[in-house]
Amino acid sequence: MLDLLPQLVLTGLTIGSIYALVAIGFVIIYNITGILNFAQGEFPMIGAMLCAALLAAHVPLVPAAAAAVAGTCLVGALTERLAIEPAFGAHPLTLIIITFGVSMAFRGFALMLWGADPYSLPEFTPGAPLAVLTGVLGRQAMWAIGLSVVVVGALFAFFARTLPGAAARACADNAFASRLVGISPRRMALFAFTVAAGVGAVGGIVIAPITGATYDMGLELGLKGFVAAVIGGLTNAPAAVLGGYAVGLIESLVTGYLAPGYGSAITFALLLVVLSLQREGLLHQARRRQV
Amino acid sequence: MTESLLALDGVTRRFGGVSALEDVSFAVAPAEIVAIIGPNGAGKTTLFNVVTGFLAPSAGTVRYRGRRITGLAPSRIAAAGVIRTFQNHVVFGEMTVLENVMVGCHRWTRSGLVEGALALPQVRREDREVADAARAVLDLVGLGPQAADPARDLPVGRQRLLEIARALAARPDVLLLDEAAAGLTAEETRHLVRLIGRLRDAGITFLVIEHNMDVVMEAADRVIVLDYGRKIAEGRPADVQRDPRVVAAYLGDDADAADRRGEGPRDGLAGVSP
Amino acid sequence: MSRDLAGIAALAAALAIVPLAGPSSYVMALFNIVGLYTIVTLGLVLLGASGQVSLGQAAFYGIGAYTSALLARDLGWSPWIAMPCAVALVAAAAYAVGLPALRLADVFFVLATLGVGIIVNVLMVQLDWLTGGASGLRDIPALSIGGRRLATDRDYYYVIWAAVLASLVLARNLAAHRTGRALRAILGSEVGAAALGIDVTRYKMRVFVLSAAYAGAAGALYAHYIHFISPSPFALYASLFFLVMAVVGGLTSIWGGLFGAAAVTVLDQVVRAQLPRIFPRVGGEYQTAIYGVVLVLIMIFFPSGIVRGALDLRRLLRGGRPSAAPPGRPEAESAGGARA
Repeated sequence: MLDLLPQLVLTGLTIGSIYALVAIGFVIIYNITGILNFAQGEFPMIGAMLCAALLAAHVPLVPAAAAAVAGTCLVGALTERLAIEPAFGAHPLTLIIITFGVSMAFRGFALMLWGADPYSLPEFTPGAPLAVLTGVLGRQAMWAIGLSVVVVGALFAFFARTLPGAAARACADNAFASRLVGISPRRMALFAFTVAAGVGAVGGIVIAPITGATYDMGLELGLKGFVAAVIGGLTNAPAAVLGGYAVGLIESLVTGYLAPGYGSAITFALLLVVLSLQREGLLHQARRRQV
Repeated sequence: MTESLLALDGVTRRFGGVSALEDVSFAVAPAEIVAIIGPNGAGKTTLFNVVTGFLAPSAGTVRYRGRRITGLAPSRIAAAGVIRTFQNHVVFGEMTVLENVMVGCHRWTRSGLVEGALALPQVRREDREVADAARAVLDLVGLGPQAADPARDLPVGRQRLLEIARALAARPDVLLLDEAAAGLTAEETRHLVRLIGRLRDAGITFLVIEHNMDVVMEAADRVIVLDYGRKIAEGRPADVQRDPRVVAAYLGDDADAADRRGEGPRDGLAGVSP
Repeated sequence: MSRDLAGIAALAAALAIVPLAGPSSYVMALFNIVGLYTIVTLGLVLLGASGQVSLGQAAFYGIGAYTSALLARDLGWSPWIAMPCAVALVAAAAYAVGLPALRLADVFFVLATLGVGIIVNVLMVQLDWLTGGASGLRDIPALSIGGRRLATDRDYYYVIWAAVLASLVLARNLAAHRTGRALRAILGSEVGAAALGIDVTRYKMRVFVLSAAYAGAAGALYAHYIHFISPSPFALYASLFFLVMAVVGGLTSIWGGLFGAAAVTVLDQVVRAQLPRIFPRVGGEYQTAIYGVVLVLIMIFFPSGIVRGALDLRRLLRGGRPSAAPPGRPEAESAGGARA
């Protein structure tokens, strides 16, 4: 019983690193624009599928991955321009429905472009897995965890130390005042979506060799990443990252110890618990960041 | 204290370290018109929010007809007869002017979900009663011709009138008007003052926040002055007008006073955003 | 408002004529499915009238179906008793969900319903000793009227559309009287509504339970009509599908509910038939792409739905002004001003 634990923990951390990347994407977009982007999970999918398609065309790994990330960033930017920007200022509910629509559209187009069969991607660096206690950590899993840590670190450094990062933080803090100093919330929104898309794509590309890439992998990724972000309070990026790992661990442990099918249910039960711990009241409304 | 309709005792509301209201106490007698005045940021709307249950006080109590209403939900306080209007008008944009006022009748009507769904005779009777009452109120405030217009289409000044009409339709015992005269023309203001007077004669008690001194001087029986959340004066309009502390609060007499006018939430709800 | 009732009467008359024209079994079945979806969508419309959106409607649809099926099949109850019991259970479930969920701000409420929907769907699969798991429940008893078992699509047509008409009438009545006004007031401004004595949370709960009951009733009918249910028609996809129907019709209009259900169902059939010709490689739910785009476009350009959007367009072209702004764009909500 207990010897299952290390493996479950490792699996949980592996998948959790992707949830963490999706969660960070949520938080970036929410902080800068106030929008809850339910298409967030599709960015890993798009990244993974693009990468798989390029690899199938015999493009080497690094250019393929880079191109896939860039392509996904472009998709993110287009999403913001075409679906979010026209609805700027609309009620948050409207925007949420829009992002659901976008995620449905992405799934459908992915299905049309790439079909329903899963694509498998080769591991980045083939080799023997590492034995950890009674568990096993595959190379790709190490890449997943490692890359996610690197990306998260880079994001923190960017937001904390660079000028564009500071602008983004200013916008998140006070959109009105940022406008006064020349920061354009609309450009920031574009930036937020582009970055979130790229971060998601990295996650998708690094996890795809382990889980395969299918057109509908985004739905669950998005929902679980969202749960992770909510655990972190939606505005706290480090907490969202921890939330991602937490969700991954909980899911892995539940699947391992209870029953396979209950993983999703437990994650959402967790979401409901976290939501019900939110503050309540007539006057508490989601702060609208659009100016 | 038991004679008064509405009684505030030591009402305090702090946001973090800042006091929006500090130890405010006063009473309102039945059929009295009491005006609350004070410079911007004095805590007037915060006071309304506390009285009507939209904000809980940090300390102190509010009593209505002798019973504590602090801590009750706003809808319960309103259902008991304490009706208020808002500065940022909250007309129901989707509905017509008439329907807006009909909503005001909610608290004295009874039909619920089941009766409504089945469209029982008493429900239709009630609807006719409500529509008639609503039209009467609209005529009273002068919005009769606009009854069928979407509320959203009314100019701002008339939207304020609509809000007042809606509040009146609720047949309040106490009516709290938050800057009802703002955005009204001189003629409309006179009309409003006459209206308030007539309603008071019919037994409605008024607590009004006003910046328009004409309204205050003409309509109010008593004036309460707030500054920085504290009550600094109370009395008849003419007396309060001459009170040097009130003058100082409005004009600011020296540099020190200006310094003291520092940061901090001036608005009732500034501290409540998530 | 009695225009609506006249409309419903006209609809009833038109519906009565349809079977006499001798349509095929496929068309009858299509009508029946549209009817069931209309009831579910009406539930969403009622909810939308108070400014709420639920992404868990399919869960209540499913609970209604499974409950009625199990009561009738395994306990031998008459479906006419099982169905109301199923609706009651759905209502109770909605009440239990609503207690915590309705305290949340609009946005989080949607997500809570989403979560509930997914959890319920997972349970449908996992509790296989009760629900038959992924293979579902078979041999669900049919309805009987006066000793005669209903067997054909045409038989069920009358029952289902009678239920649709009843749902329309109930919804219209609610909207026209005190409850409807209170709900629209809540949509307009929760703060303003509370200040007039409307117990916002209680009304939201009532309408949420009612909207779930609508879905549960439709689900119960569905179970006895198709005689077989499985978890898949009650998954998140279905909830999104219902949302698209409600949005197309305009989240707040009763007629919109009917129109949306009909339009989207028919569109779905057309798409399923035509799309393989353009993309022969693909099998599966690729029409989600279309629905996704439709959803986005509607929410951007016609948040009040196609019907209202078309009317607005017509009015605009004639030089008038559009009718009152779309739902989901409420007034500023703060109860305090910028100054005190």
